[in-house]
Amino acid sequence: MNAAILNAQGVCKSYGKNEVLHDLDLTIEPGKIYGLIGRNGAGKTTLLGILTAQNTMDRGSVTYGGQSVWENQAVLDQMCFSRELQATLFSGQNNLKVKHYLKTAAIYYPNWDQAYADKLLSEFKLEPKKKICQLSKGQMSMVTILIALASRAPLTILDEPAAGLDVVMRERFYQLLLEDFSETGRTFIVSTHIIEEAASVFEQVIILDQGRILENRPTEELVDQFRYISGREDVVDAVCNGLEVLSTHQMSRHKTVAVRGDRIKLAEAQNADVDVSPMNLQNVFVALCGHGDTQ
Amino acid sequence: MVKSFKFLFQFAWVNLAAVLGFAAAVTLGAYTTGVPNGAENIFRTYFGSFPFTALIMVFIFAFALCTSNLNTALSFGGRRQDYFWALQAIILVYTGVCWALQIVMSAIPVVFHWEEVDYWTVLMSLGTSSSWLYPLVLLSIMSLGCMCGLASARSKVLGVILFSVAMVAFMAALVLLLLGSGHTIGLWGCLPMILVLVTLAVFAVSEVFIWRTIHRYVVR
Amino acid sequence: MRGTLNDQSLIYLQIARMLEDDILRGVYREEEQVPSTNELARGYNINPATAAKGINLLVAEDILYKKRGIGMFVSPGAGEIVQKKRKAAFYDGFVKPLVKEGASLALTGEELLAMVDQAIKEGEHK
Repeated sequence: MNAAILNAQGVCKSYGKNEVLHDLDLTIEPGKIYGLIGRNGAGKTTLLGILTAQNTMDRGSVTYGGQSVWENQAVLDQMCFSRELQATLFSGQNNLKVKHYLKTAAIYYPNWDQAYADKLLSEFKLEPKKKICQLSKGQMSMVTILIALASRAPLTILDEPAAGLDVVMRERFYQLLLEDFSETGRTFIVSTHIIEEAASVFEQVIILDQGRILENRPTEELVDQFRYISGREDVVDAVCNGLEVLSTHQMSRHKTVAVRGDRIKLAEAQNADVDVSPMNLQNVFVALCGHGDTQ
Repeated sequence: MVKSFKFLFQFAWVNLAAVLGFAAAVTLGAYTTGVPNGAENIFRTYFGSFPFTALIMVFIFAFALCTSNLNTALSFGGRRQDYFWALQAIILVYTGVCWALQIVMSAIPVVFHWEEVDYWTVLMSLGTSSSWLYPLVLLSIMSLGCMCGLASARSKVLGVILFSVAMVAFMAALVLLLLGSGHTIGLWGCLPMILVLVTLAVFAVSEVFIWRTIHRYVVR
Repeated sequence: MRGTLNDQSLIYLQIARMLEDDILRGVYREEEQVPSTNELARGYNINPATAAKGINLLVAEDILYKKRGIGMFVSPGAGEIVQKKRKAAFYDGFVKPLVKEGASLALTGEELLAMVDQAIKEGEHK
């Protein structure tokens, strides 16, 4: 597989007066499964569109293997951006048949694996003759996943692939993704709202918040920096000295805080009369991006 | 560019087949209902007015080709310039096929000694391969169709406006073809020349619009 | 399979711990092959890199070793190494929390030790 680095620098994008991405820098190293998480409206789909030259940007540069991605066939051949399918397009119903959609994929993706596509088609029980607007939400997600996996593109991006799938199919999706990754070692970026389920699949997590990259680091490394500390409020406050407090929840004198700090400081907290418990990725995300909406 | 051409051709060949099929049906219908012997019926009208019917058909095909296909092609990693040139190639294919079809259809009455019909002037004028007016009009109408398709995908209002413009352009094309068929050319003075320039202008403006739209397009 | 992982500690540590438990229980004996990174990843629906991290941790501690081209094997004396490692962690992992909890219940040192004695006796009867 082509081991090229995707590099975005200083990317700015506004829709009218609304600045969606501010001076964004992002580096994607090859051979990893990345999770891209962010709240609705954070700009995930916009960012992914810009990384794949499907969306225009106001300022900045995006390169893959050192070459600019814009209108660059050699680079575009290495990528697959599998978007959420929609039942209606601006011009009315999406009348494209599944088989035409797949044939289009075969035309455009140089690494397209037809055998794999056929296997997935029968596993997902999709009917090729059906029009996209006739599919259920779950089936549309399955088409998205099929395209992404069978594309065998060195850099494959999936936008909300699990939307509309029931929990059994979601588990199957993670399985398929990991199997493909084990076999090919290609780079995946998966954008999702269903964070905790998918957390163990992501080697690295990218958090997009308010148009900027908040975090881009290995999942376990990130999660290990956070803890919940709870107990009597004065003891908790004392322990939190030197730690970054992200959120607070108080019920009379019982106080629970979400904190971030290095391992040494966090280990010290264990000695005090407080409960120290780990936070999972979802908890971390809410603590970082909740912006005090709740609590 | 080959990829985008293959992609568009998936849809185009069906439409081309429809045009050819329709032409065959009309010709056969005319033959079997005695048109060669001077019978006046609906097939005679269809046969003679085929150049115009074809114009309407290619406009609709060009329109449909440009609504959601751009979005699909780009979402699969197609390049914008490739899509533009593939579109041009498809337009050329349509033009070539329709022009050749007209030449054949205008040759049939002559070759098979059909009864002459006064009203078939335009069709007959296309029998000579030097009648460059027809392909010019085809290109222009299709370009216009593509532009309308792209515009209506962006905004319904813009689409309606441009559609009305297209109707006017059709009238102009009709007149141009009538004049060009040598029927009353002397009486109209320099109008034919003006209409030719207008046709070229429509073509140029449409192409510029198409190029710009494709280049600035944001995939949804 | 997935159900055996929880979010109480980092996944790669849980993987390492599970393999250690298996070694102590005799599921994997000395010089036997343990599941590969990919097998573990498939089994627990986790990223292979995470599984690899867990295995590498054990390799660094000489509990497992790598046979090139074949896979990961249990080192001779791995059982003892795991026990030694756990004994060292026993104080921080079990004794200190025991004392802390006892203190929060206002138990004296003698009461605590008496309880430990009783538990040992109960264990011996089984």
